[in-house]
Amino acid sequence: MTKKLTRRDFLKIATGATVASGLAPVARRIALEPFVQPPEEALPGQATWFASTCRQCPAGCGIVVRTINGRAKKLEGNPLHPLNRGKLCARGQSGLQVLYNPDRLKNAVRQSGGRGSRQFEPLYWPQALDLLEEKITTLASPERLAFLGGLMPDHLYQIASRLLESLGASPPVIFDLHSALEGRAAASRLSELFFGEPQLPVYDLARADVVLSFGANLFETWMSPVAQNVAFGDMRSSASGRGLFVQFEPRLSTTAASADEWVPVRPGAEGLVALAIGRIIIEERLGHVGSHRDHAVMYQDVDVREMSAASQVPVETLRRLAVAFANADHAVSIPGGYLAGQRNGLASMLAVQALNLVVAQVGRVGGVFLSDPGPTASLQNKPAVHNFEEVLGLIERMQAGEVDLLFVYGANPVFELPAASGFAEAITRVPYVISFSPFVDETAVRSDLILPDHVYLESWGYQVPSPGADRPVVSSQQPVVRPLYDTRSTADVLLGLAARLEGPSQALPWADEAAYLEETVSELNGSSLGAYNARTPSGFWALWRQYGGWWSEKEIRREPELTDIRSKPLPVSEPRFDGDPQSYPFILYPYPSVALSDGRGANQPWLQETPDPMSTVQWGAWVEVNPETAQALGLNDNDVVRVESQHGVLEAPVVVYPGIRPDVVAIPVGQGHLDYGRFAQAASGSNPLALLAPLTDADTGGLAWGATRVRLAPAGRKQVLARLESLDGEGRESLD
Amino acid sequence: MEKDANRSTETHPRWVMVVDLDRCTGCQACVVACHAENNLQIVEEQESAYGRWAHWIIVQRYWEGEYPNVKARFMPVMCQQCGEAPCEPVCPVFATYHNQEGLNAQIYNRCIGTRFCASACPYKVRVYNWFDPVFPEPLSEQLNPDVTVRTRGIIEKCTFCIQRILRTEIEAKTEGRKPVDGEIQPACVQTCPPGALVFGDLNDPDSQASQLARSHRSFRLLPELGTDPGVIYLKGGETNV
Amino acid sequence: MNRWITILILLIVAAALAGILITRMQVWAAPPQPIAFSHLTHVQAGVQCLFCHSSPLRADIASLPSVQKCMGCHAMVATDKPEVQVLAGYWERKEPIPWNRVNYQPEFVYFSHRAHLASGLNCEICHGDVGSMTVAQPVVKMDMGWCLDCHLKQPPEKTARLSDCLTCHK
Repeated sequence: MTKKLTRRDFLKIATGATVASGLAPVARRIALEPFVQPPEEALPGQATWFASTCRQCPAGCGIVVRTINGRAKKLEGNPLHPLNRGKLCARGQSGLQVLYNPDRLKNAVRQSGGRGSRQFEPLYWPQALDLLEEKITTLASPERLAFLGGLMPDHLYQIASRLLESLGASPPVIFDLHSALEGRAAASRLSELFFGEPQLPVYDLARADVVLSFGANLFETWMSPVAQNVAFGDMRSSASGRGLFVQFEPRLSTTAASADEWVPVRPGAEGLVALAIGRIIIEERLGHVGSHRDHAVMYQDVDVREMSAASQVPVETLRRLAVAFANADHAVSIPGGYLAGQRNGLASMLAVQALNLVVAQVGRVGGVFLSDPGPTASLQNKPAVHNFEEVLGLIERMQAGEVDLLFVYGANPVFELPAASGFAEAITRVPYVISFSPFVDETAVRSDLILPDHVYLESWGYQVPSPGADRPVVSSQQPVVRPLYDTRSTADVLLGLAARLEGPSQALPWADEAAYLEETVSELNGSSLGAYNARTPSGFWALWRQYGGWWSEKEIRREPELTDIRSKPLPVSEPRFDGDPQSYPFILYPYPSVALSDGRGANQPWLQETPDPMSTVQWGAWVEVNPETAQALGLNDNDVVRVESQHGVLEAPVVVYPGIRPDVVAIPVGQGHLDYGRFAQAASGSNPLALLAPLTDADTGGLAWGATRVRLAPAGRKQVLARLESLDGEGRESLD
Repeated sequence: MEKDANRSTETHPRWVMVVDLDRCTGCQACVVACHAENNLQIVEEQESAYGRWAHWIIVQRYWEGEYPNVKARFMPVMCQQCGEAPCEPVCPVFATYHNQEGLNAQIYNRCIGTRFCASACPYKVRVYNWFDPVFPEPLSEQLNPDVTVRTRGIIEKCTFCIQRILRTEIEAKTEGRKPVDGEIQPACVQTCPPGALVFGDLNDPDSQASQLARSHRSFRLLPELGTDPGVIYLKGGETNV
Repeated sequence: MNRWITILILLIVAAALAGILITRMQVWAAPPQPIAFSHLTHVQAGVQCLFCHSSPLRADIASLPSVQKCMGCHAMVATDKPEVQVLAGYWERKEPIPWNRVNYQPEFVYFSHRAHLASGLNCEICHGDVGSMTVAQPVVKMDMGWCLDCHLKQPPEKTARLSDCLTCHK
């Protein structure tokens, strides 16, 4: 009770408050705006569903989108689509926050205050196209034009390559971090060596009894996670039993949590484990012995005890797993993305794939097979992702001043490439940079002109999923809402540009993207394989959009044709790391996060809020350290630790992680954005790519992202991570 | 007091969810699908660190053993829709009660935010809105018109996507029939890629959910508390075969 | 002392009553509209409710006619009237007409027109004789008590569903 409040004051306040509360529900004016011109297909308030393709990762799952009054409300998997069969992963579900993201660019813009100023002057599209045309026509020579693409729809790649070809420029260089982390380029090279063609194989998990997965994060981000999840569910409930699933990797990943056994292999030695298992099968004549004699030559340089020592996996374990693998009716061995991230990547992947040969599972049920493209072959004209070495080549050219004009589409190389590769410096040597990003990301902020593409839910297109499904399939894409802003489809921009130039206008005679697509996909009509056919091309175009693509009615798998790979000994190659073990005792494992993948998910708050499955942390980044290692260094949960390599340093809080080797530390990729929108910038955490050595696997040219050594030192402070779980003093929850 | 799962004389369905832990891969698709479907608010990093995150379904991760013999297990947990719910008797304004189809209802406009229910819940699945939701334009365009957007001061939790249940029941009624098994799918069930979640009527002995509930692998969480949960878990590590 | 307290209590009660009365009056009043649309004129011309408010048979909301629907007739009918010219202006500018809502429920109430029309109710039962209104206004405060006044007259099998709050407050 304050002395200052008099009775008068009290009465005034009380009366006023009472009157005000009585007046509180003052009638609000609620405006109701009807349609000006209503759409024909829906009533107000009723939902209409449109089929399209998800573009949150390279897999190409089919989606259906619930729209009400022209707003997209919910994404679901397309139940008819043979790849994902009505299911959709976390990143797929988050797509609406890409469409309705508050930080999208609303116009074509020029960075008028200079690169990095973040001052953008909006341009009208005719102006922007004039500028684009000017830049192309004033090039000293077409070789001075470079196109760096990342996650790119198939049809856009075709249009872009034709345009570049007709100009006399080199084809696009395709590189994105997600594909590098899943070892896409290396997997393609592996297929060439084994099956004579670069097509990515499909591993028939659903019908396998024993699955040996070597560093493949099947259920998170690798290749086709939704399809792999669906297959895994089938495998576990199969009539022939739930199967045995073994994961070989240095860190117990989310995928390994679903495994029956996790084998903590020394980093980069997974291939040695596979070689040992193969050797044991052949030496001891395990399982179906028919073809063992033919395969013996592959293992002639393999000594099981040496492999065991090098990988730190006991011989008994190797033998036990070899027996299970060989005796299974349907076994499959899967070479994953982690292998490709080592300097001996291809050798490891060869060893793992060879196991499928040894148990005669190539082209068999529950083994490995190739997708049959069928009539979709002509649509899939995109080469596999380029490797890191080729990107380094581009960076060198940029640094040497040989590139005058750079286009960047669907990639964020300033963020996604290791800092040590020098892209950020090299881009300053390019006089003019044009980005097609719908968001101002780290690369767009270093460009001069941004011509924002529509986001995928506003776009046309198609994609032949790679890896494919159990039958020929191509996924269709259509706008599910009218484009929100004055953005323009990049394919239309390039076609518009082509129309203004003599050579390209011959090569690309289409008025716009939709015309190109309609013509291209009409080839599929009339195929005897199709799940549907139409009597007219426009009928087909309608069904194509309604179904969400085209696929074959029946399952068609293809047995791969083997090359002469089995007539030679397999290479035995030890991993090599950057940094000496004394100064840098730990090997760094930067892994793609389920929610953020390679960082592209960081601008979506749903994905930032999604707890990491293993650490349960939301919004941040952390360093996973083995409990013994943590104890030795005097580190507890939430203590900030300094991680240093020969190339960079970062600080992050510790997560004491029981499922990791004592000599390995892991950091999730994806945080550390300095641009890319408010949500990406709000989250704590640093980009672990700052630590990486720009090393490659000599055989594939792929980025050896798992080959960097680091050292740890306590930073002397704490940072509380936003975990779901509470730390009960022991540092982990228990079921007891 | 156990409610008999096979009382087919019941005219109302009892909605249950079956979670097969042998299939759950911890992919978090259910978490994002739920946020998208139910207009959950965005909780940023600092507030999440205080424990004020807003998830109606979480995938709990348990460690077992020690390196190198270590295993991790996932367990998706959402409101268990208990038949004998401890949260219901403690609400001073009856904002939460049990409906005839086995759901624990939470009525937002009645709730005054005492949080007694959240304290009483042994599964800790009830979420309190500490702040008014902020959806920076145009994120609000995504909001589902079938679900209330809750202001601060209100408790919320998994509803088994009541909006989908009601919509399907009404549509089926206009066609003169009852919903068939599998027609009603909450957002998490619909999107779950490994098919770990199944939703159905426990009072229909032929429904997939009922059949799975009879499995020797089935168990419920904290059964000793007598809450009679409507979520049935199937133990991982073994199959029905 | 007692006198002061009595006056205080009376003042508070009076103020509260005044507040309630004022707001009720505001709720009952017809909100201003951008175009002086008269239902009376149109009903006399023979237009049915469902012609313009076309959704309620199949959707939850009744919906307002699109500008295109109005122009369907008014491109030729009564084009000399000033209000019709205002309408034409919206059409030319391709702008939606910002009508002010007359009948509304709070955000936490889910009302389905479809269910009610399907049971054979007609518009006048709840909305009053809109056909004789020159300015659209609510005829009754549509609060829960009013809904229940009708619903509790239904046979018990039907009202059983209503004892579940979730039916309308999901």
